[in-house]
Amino acid sequence: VVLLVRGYEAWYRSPFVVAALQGALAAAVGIILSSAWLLLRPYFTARTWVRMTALAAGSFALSAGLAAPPIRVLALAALIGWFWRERPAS
Amino acid sequence: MSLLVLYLLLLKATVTSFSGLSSLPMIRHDLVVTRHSLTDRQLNAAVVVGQSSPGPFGLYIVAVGYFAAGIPGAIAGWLALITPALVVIPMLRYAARHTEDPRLQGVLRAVIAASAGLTLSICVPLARDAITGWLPAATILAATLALILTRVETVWVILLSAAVSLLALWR
Repeated sequence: VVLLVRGYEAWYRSPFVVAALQGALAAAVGIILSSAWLLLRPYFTARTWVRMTALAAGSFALSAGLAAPPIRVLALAALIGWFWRERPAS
Repeated sequence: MSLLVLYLLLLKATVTSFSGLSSLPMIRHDLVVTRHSLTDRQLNAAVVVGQSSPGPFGLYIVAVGYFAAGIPGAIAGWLALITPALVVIPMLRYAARHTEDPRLQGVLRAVIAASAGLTLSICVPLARDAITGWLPAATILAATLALILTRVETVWVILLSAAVSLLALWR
């Protein structure tokens, strides 16, 4: 990892490396976007999707819109998770 | 910033996340927004390096440590990455006794949902930095869809995206 970072630092001004990095950085955003969905997907069932969507959307709004610190958002989600019970399986 | 503080901030991120990249919002808040030890570009580059390296998911934390404080920072990042593994056994004992508790399951799922929301929120500033034209925007879309719809490894997505960007430079 350190060797790769040093390579990045040594070469990031070269126009070819800048071009390659632009593509790689865009891919990294795609990786982060997909990781959010992949994190959510196993828990996204007919019984739980409303709760999961509301919590994910609420966290997004608190963080992106109100710049709330992540630790507070997670603590609030835990509190909501304690009181807002999932629909029991029928 | 002292190495101990860096280690503790990275540790806070690793112990409160549920997959490799869900620690990103915490790291961005602490190191980019609050302490200005990193830029969004460096954080994004750390993700590229971490995903291109062999090894466990979440290895980008070592690169984050390096960008923040050089080699000692990389070591602090590595320690923050492995420390949670040391508490796995007591956690497993606790989990074995309580995993059936529906309230605890509800709390865990709520925190996972919140982690996903936080991970999405971090994409806004990183995408703002990465989107310099239509090609990076298309790359983000293609990479996201490829990773969601197929089982392709992230390193191939990064390499292909870099290659396409280089080809566009030559055209």
